[in-house]
Order: sequence, then structure tokens, then C-alpha cells
Amino acid sequence: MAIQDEDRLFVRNGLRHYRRRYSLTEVRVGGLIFVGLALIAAWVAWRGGQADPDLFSAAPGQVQRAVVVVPGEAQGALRAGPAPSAEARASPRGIAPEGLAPEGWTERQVALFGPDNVYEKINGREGYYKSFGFESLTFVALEFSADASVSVDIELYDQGKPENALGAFAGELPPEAAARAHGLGLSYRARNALYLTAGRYYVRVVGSDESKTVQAALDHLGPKLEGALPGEPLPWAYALFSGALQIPPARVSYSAESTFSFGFFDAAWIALLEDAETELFVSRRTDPGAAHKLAAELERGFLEYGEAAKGKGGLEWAKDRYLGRFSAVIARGNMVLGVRGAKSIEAGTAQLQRLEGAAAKAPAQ
Amino acid sequence: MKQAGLVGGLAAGAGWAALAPSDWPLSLKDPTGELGKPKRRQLALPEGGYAVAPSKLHADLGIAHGVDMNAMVRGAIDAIGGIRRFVNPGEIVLIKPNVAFERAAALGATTHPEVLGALIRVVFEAGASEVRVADNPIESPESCFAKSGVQRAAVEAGARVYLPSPGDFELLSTPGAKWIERWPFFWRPFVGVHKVIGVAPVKDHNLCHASMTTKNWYGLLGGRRNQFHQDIHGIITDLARMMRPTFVLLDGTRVLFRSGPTGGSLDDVRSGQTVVASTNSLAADAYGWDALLLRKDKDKPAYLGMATESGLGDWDYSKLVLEEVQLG
Repeated sequence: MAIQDEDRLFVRNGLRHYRRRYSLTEVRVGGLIFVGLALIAAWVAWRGGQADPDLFSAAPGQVQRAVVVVPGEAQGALRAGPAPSAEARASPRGIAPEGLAPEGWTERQVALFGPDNVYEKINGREGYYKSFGFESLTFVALEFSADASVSVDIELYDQGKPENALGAFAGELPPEAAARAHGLGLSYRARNALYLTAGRYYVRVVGSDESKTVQAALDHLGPKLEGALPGEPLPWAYALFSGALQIPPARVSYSAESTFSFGFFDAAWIALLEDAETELFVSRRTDPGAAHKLAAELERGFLEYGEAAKGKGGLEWAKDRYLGRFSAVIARGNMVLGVRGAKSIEAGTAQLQRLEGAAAKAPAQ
Repeated sequence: MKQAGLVGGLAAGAGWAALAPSDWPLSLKDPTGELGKPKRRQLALPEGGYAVAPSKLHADLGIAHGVDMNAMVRGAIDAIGGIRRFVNPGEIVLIKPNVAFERAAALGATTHPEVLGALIRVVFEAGASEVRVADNPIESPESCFAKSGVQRAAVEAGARVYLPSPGDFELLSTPGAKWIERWPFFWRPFVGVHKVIGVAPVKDHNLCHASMTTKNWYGLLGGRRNQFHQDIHGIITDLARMMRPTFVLLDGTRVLFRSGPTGGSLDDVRSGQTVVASTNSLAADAYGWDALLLRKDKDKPAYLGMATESGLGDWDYSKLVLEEVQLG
């Protein structure tokens, strides 16, 4: 026997069994293993057919949503400016100041949203804020303790830059709204709501009604938010339009992209004059060459909608063939200045001269 | 020889299973992973939807003006034939309001709870055995139903409220639809339903310019439906194809004319003092665009034209019979 065992070691054909036949026990064991494997395979197949369908149908509206901030890339807007502090970013409250609830009110909910999930909060409206460089939304719900049907929602939008925040703010005000400057931003009080900007932040405080209870809460929240959010001085264009030219801040707006429907015209400040037709616009470019190039493109763009007319000093005006109003653009240094929709060349020239004079005194940066 | 044959057979079988293309028998290939998924049920709404037979005896658009919401709901429905034209005794009726946002009713972003309550009561008066109220807001459904006042109004009027949960969605087949030919649909409230009524506010909309009765069906979809915003008019056209309701009610008691669809400021809301009932949701929406959003001088939203061209109705209400009533 010992010799036979030794012989096995030297079998040259490794595929050949050293015995002539399998034992009956081996066949039985093999059969059992085969049956076991078949049972496992059948179980796997059956379980696969009975999988929970929800695994494949997870929908934002169906599942409990995780509240996360995903600071991602915004669409086509200016992106710079002082970032919120690291503490604010990391905080579960986002940028919401502590202790917002007035006396008699309860903070019911705080939720944070980024570009990828903000639609869960404002589905259908998110594109508006994204067009102004949206980075995150911090939502705080306050409830009046004595009556749960009375509530105030605070929406704090981080728009990346003060220009973006002001643009989003101006676009949501009624045309007749008179905004108030509060030092580092603008604010507007509606019947049941408060809108304000502070630096890169645009804040909407929405009351459920216009009751005295809600008004008192808005009175409390306005100064609280203005004081707590990190602000910055108003952008130079406000100094230009509202300071030098005395145009109400609510008539000043910022257009991050496709200004006047020209795809090449971005980062423009626009002021609508009292006649509600004439607009002054200004855009600061990187250098005088870029300003001249943009001015030439705009001139061609205006002429596509009308015919050329010579004005004072040989400046070329474009008369809109449908509206009969006049537009012109000039470059001064690295600034592009213009008038759009003036009722006559004379009126437009006067406005353009005012703008040019004010722009000459505007800060360089 | 026997062993060699067995080994060879097993090897050949394993080779077949491993290498044969996925559509061959016994193949284990699943390059996309789709074959491993369970086959989901695919459901369809009834052929012809939930519409009743057209009638030439009644107006196509019933328009009620006033301040009493209860009277306006009844007046508008009476003008198109009365509730008994649409609901038979013993039937189960599903009502789909717009509860998309966590906003108070006064802000105009959701169906007014008083309008909904009046509609539920009218439906019960026709002998309905059960009235269900359902919507699938992307925001927290519980908060939206509570804060809008819809849940309270529905329950007080005797309806059952269906809030969405993961198991309530089934794959719905909508033949001919561009985006939702097969799409998760809030199915559970539809089980056993005989009639479907939509009741939607009149709202400005940042993307599609106006959200009214046709856009309202968006709230029955599941899945990642925000992707449809890239072709908002296409998806609303699909919604008109998907749902043929018994009738719709356009809640123009107040109009969110700016900053929609979310709104927030009472300055963006004006009183409309109108309720419109119709079996033609495209025409009801066109009327809302002209007479309630006051945008008659502007082009209609593209989805109205697209749905009309697809044969899903006709938005041009000037061709239809309108019955207008002034109530208290």
C-alpha cells in the first residue's frame, strides 16, 4: 500500500485518476454537492425575480429626502467674491444665523439645498436663481407657537457674488417697488414678505399672511438678517446709477448673461429710466480692447433690428424698425456705456453724456 | 470515456452560458444589467381615459364669477351639464389638486382648499361612494398638504387623502408620448377609480409661462421628473396625452401672475374671482391665459399649440360654447 501511495506522486498524466473507478460514496457526495448547488442557484434565481421594485424606482417625490448641500457649478454667472466662512459651510444650519425665531415663534425646520437638489424645494423656479449663479439655499421654517397656521419661511440664497444677489433680487420686485439701501445691501418690504440682499446673499422672508403677527415677525427678522449676514459694499454700478445719477436702486438690475438677448453680452448693469422705456447700460470689461470689441458687436446687434442714424459727434445710433426708439453704445477705457430705447437721438445723447460723465468718476475697480 | 464525456459536456454547457449572446437561450450574458432586474408591471389608464360622452346640449366651458367659492364651483359645473352628467351613484372619484408647494393658500401657488372642499361635496351629492384626493409634490408631501390647507379641507369634506409613498408607483404606459411612454406613475389612488377630476390654480410659471389644468397632471408622475424641464412644453403635451379626465376645474379665485410657480409675495397675487369647468383642459387653460393671467396680447404657451396639433384637444375656445354666470 505504501508503495502504491508513493506511486501516485509520480503519475505523469495528472488528468488521469490513479484509481480505475470512483467509489460509490464519492459519487453520492458529488451528487449531494450538485443538488446543493442547484438549490442555491434556484434560490438565487427566485430571489432575483422577487426583488423589491422600489430598488429601481427611487424617486425624489417618493423617498424621504436627505438634506445635503452640494456646492456645484452654477450656470454662466459670475463666480468669485468672499466665500462664507468654513464654519458656515460646515454648519448644519448652512448660512442661517442662530436665534432667528422671534419671541413666541418656533423654528420648525432647517434644510439645505445645493444646485443638484434645489428643485426639490422650488421645482420650476430653480432655473431663475441658477441663471444668477446660485450656489446654495438655506431654508428655515418658523411657526407661530400659538397658531401653527401662521408661519414665516426664510429662504437664504447664496448667489456667489453681490451682483448676482442684486440681480435676482431686482428681478423679483414689482416694477413699482422702491427698494431701500441698508448699508451693505438693499431691501424691500412687500405686504407679507421681506426681500433683502447682503453681499452675495439674497434673502426672501415669506409670511403666510399679512396679519399683525406676521408683520411683527418681519420687523424682527429684517434687522436681524441684515446684521448677521456677512455683507459687502454695494457694487460700483449702484454708486454710478443710484449715487451719481440718482436712479432708484430698484430700477437697477444686473444681467449675468445674454443681455438684451445678445448671447455675447454678459455682466451688464442696466438702469431703467422713469419713462419705463429708456435704459442706460454699463459693463466693465477686462481691458480697453475688450470694451471696444464688445461695443462694436453691440452696435452691429442694434443695427440688425433697425437702421443707422447719425447723431452728435458722428456717433452712430440705431433706430429700431418696430419701436422707432434709438440705441447707441460707446467704449470708454475698459467700460462699455450705452443707451437703449431712447425716444429721440437728442434725448438719448443727453442721457449718454450724463452716463459718460458719471462713469468718468466711477472707481476703477 | 464516460468521465471525459461528462467533463466535456459540462465545459461546453458552461462555455455556451458564458459566451452565447444575451438573447440566446440559457445565456448568462447581461451586458447592461437590465436582464437581472425584475420585470415590473406595466399598467395603462383606461382607453379613452375617464372622459364621459360629449354632449351638444351643454356649454364646453362653464365660467362662474363671484366671491363665494362654493357657489362658483357649483355654478361652473352646472354650466357644463351638472355633476350628475359626470358622476354616477356608487362611483369612486379621484380629484387631483395642485399641492406642489409648502405655501399658504392665499399665496396662490396651490389649489384653494375652499374650492377643493366645495368640489368634493358636489361630487358626493352625485352619489359617489368614495372621493380620493391625491398629489405627489416634490417638496415634503406631508408639509405641502398641511400648510396649503388642502388636507384639512379634503378630510373635512369626507374625502380620503393619498400621500405618496414608495410602493404607490407603477410603470404607466402612455403610447405615443415622447417622454413618458413608460414612466412611474402615482398608481395606488387610481385603483378602482371610475372618474378623475383635476382642479388647478392659475399660475405664472418660470419655464412654461403658465401652469394650469394640463400642467397639473405633472404631479402624478414619479421618477426624476425635474429632467423634463429641458422640454417643458413637450412634457406638458405628453401629460395631455396621458390623462383624459372626466372634467377639469380651473381655480381662478386668485391668480399668481408673477414669480411663479412658487410665488411667495401677496403682491404677486391678484383676485381672479373666477372658476372655470370644462371637459377640454386645453381650452380652459387658454381661457385662463387670456382672461385670468391677462396675457391675451401675448403668444399662448407653446404646449397648447403642440397638444392641439397632436389631436389632443383644441385650445381655441372661441370655437366653443361658453356659458358665463355671475354669482354672489
